[in-house]
Amino acid sequence: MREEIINTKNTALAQIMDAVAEEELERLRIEYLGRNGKINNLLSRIKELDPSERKNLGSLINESKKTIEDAIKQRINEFTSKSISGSEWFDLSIPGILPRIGNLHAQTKVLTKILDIFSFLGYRIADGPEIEKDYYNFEILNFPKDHPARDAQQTMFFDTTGTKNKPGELIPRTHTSAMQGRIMEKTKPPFRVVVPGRCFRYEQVDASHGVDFWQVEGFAVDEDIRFTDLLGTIDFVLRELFGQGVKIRFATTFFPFVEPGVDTYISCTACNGKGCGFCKRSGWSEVMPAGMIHPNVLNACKIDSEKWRGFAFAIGLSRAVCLKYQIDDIRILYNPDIRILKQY
Amino acid sequence: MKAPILWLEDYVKINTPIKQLMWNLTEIGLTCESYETVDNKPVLDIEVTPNRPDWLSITGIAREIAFLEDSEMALPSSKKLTNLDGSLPIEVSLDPKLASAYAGVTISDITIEPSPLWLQERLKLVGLRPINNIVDITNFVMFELGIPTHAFDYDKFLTKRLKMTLSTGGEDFESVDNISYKLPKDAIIIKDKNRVIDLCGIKGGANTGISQTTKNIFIHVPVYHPVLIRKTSQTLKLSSDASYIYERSPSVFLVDKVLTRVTDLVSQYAGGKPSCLVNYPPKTLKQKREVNIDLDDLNNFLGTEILANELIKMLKRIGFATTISGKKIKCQIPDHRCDINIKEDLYEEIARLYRYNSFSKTLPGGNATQYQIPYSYDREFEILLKNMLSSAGFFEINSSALTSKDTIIKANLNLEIHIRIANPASLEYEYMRTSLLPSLISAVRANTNAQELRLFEFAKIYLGPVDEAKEIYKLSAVSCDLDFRELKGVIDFLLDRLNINDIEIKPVITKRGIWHPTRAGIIEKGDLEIGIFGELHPEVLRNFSIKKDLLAFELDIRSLKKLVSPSIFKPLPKYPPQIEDITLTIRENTQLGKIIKTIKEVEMVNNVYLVDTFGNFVTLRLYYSHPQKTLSDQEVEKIRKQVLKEIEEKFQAAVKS
Ligand SMILES: [Zn+2]
Repeated sequence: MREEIINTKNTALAQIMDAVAEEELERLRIEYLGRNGKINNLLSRIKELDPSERKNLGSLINESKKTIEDAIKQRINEFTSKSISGSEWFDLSIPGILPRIGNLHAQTKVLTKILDIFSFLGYRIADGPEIEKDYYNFEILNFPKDHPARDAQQTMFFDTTGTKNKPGELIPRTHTSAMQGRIMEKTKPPFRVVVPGRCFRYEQVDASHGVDFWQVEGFAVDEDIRFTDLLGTIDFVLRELFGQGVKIRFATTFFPFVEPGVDTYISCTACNGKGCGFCKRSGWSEVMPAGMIHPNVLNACKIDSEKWRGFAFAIGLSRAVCLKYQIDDIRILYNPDIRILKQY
Repeated sequence: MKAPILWLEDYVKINTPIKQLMWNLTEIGLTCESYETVDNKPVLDIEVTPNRPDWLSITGIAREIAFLEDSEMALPSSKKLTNLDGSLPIEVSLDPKLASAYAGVTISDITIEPSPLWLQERLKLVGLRPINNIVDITNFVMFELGIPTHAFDYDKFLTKRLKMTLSTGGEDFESVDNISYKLPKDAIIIKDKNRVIDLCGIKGGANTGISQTTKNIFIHVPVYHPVLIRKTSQTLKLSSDASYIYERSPSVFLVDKVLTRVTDLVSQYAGGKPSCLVNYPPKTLKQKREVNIDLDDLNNFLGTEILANELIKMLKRIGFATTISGKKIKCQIPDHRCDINIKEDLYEEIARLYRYNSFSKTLPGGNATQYQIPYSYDREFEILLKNMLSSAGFFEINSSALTSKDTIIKANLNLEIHIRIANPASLEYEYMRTSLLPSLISAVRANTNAQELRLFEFAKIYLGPVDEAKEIYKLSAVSCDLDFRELKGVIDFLLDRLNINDIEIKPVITKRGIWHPTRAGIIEKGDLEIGIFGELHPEVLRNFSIKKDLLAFELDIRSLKKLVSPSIFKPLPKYPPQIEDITLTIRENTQLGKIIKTIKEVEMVNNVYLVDTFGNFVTLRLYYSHPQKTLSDQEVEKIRKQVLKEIEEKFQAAVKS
């Protein structure tokens, strides 16, 4: 037994001296000093011995235990002092291993940002049908039937064969403005609403047109809403979205459902208005048509236009995403190439 | 609208450099983003909005430039036609429902020859080919003043009594450029005897066209009903500069001026004497041409502090005469403007000429929405789901809501339930999609070289019939690197975070379809279907040329939304659990999910995890615990016995010996 104890101690010390890493010492500590380690094993066995031997061997085991403990401690100190003294070689340049995490689409990110801005301004978020009636897409918005104002909308029509609807009555909505009537006819002012969503146009798909694309509609109705409130809201939103340095300018335009009508241009996000390849030398991009809600629209929604006024606007979301990421081809937004998705 | 600088300068002096002029025009409503150069002369390209037919004329644009340049505009003179000799009688029976204004004149003894060079040059700049003096003059005046005119060969009329009427449909008509048409019903036409001599507002007839030998002519200046012109033009798929203008309701107050201008030019460049006049002035409309505004209301609407005298001065510069009494201003609408009917129209006019960019910027005061609105949308939930998938390694894609017949068939989906576009821009975008999976499968195909692909999309699907269409949000995902248990783990993780427990899974069992008939399952809770997951049908994958194994799921957002419940904090257990691994021998075709569910239902079994499977052996890790005490070995022994009894009875499974 005595011999066994001494052998165990010597083997342990040899192994401790040979250890080249801290983890190895930890393993040895468990092997010898752990709850089921060799030392405890020896200790448990001395119960079987003659009481006269027990005391001597007991203290020998305890001494051995202390010696092993000290040796380990000393070697650990050596390792630690080596690494903290700067003499150790450690490769900090080795590449990291990336966590396995996906990514959200650029459009989701930009839309989240836009909705956060509007939420700050007290707007509620709504969502409505993309399969829409002519009535909400056009008629309630002051687009008379057979009016050339409809030409700009490049409308597609659903095949209504076998249904109770006439051809042309059901369409994939051409703009999120279709939600103005749906919401306003059921809501008492004052209100502020934003409606993101998909829209559809009869277009040949190219770098700047898609058959379906996204808009964010917004409108506010209250007693004393002014034209300058509309300009201020657009200005605030676009600066929050594109940065305070962006230049914004307004122009007059015509949409049947607003009066006055506003076009909003922002300076190119790549060249800030000087003209570059990304903006095709124009320097400016139209992003947010708007206007004061036409009294005919308010009245059609049973809101007294003598008492209430409002403004409405639409952000071309797909275009806003392109501007934000300096994407020069709108088709990129529908491209699922993982090398693109990783860049958003 | 093409506007050559050279032509504009006939009426107004332009001092501003062209680039700046373009923006100035854009700012006040004449969007002008580019110009072209014809024969070294700049021609502005102006997008004219449909409310401003007056801008479909060079003088209309010159008027805006005169305002911008703060200068006067020189318009061609328009004295009344006099000295009519009456030698060429003409009568036109008119219908105010078809033409709300009309003027015409016969002119005798003209000489057909080329038009003067200055006139030819201007026509070429706007893209027209000069023909002869008479035709060129009618085109020139249309461009100059914005109302179309047409010249007939007077001697070719079968009768001097013309009649404007609607076509009954089926009439033969040969246009002046020698193309034959069968007329639709309800086209405005002019007849002499029974011949159609004019497809009004669109094209003149060959039978009465101007030729080299024409001596006497009849020129008319009508303003037709816009909708009738538009319908005919759309039915025939035939539009002209004239029909484009007529569709936009040009002013009815200009026909006399235009006729005078045409006649003056004809006399000057083709000789000839005006003979007989047809006149149909729009008398009844004349009285309503006023809009009243209140200065305080204007300033309150615009958010401005415009003073009465500066406003009146500015309105005068664009042709509005005003009378003021106190804060009330009565504004007379000039003849060339038919787009101003209500006070808001005039507010826009004032705002645009003050320039939007000179206005201050304010934010609305007042109240935010106080209550729930209709169509309210919970985007937080959408983002929660998207974030969970993203954290599970999935990348979000966006794809078109429209798809092709080819894709639907390749995906083994039922074409019948798809909503179809009657006039698709291309066959690639003809149907509304009923599943997000084909887009995801195509996305995998587009990433042929990517190894560890995990993609998802959150979007609507659309179920027909179109008159009862359903638009349903789905969350779909595909993966080429996760195995079955890992993909199911993603769903488990999602449901766990939403606190949706105790789901059931049923096999899909469809003969065809996009899903694998045995290796895909429907996830349900109660009667509610949450979604489908598993392998896609090998045939579908083959159709899309996918060579990898593909696992997918499609979850229904409305169901998830119904079942989700908020996380409520549970205190940590006071007493540690007893944990042990049990290896069982099970029979073939035993559902492990059911074994685990059975064990979990045993009292004081807190949790069960699958550790490993090997052949018919399965190792489970069981957690036993009691809320009020630490379980003793004897107590655990009792629970274990209960567990083994249950699974022995239900599944004939036993502890591995
Ligand atoms: Zn640029």
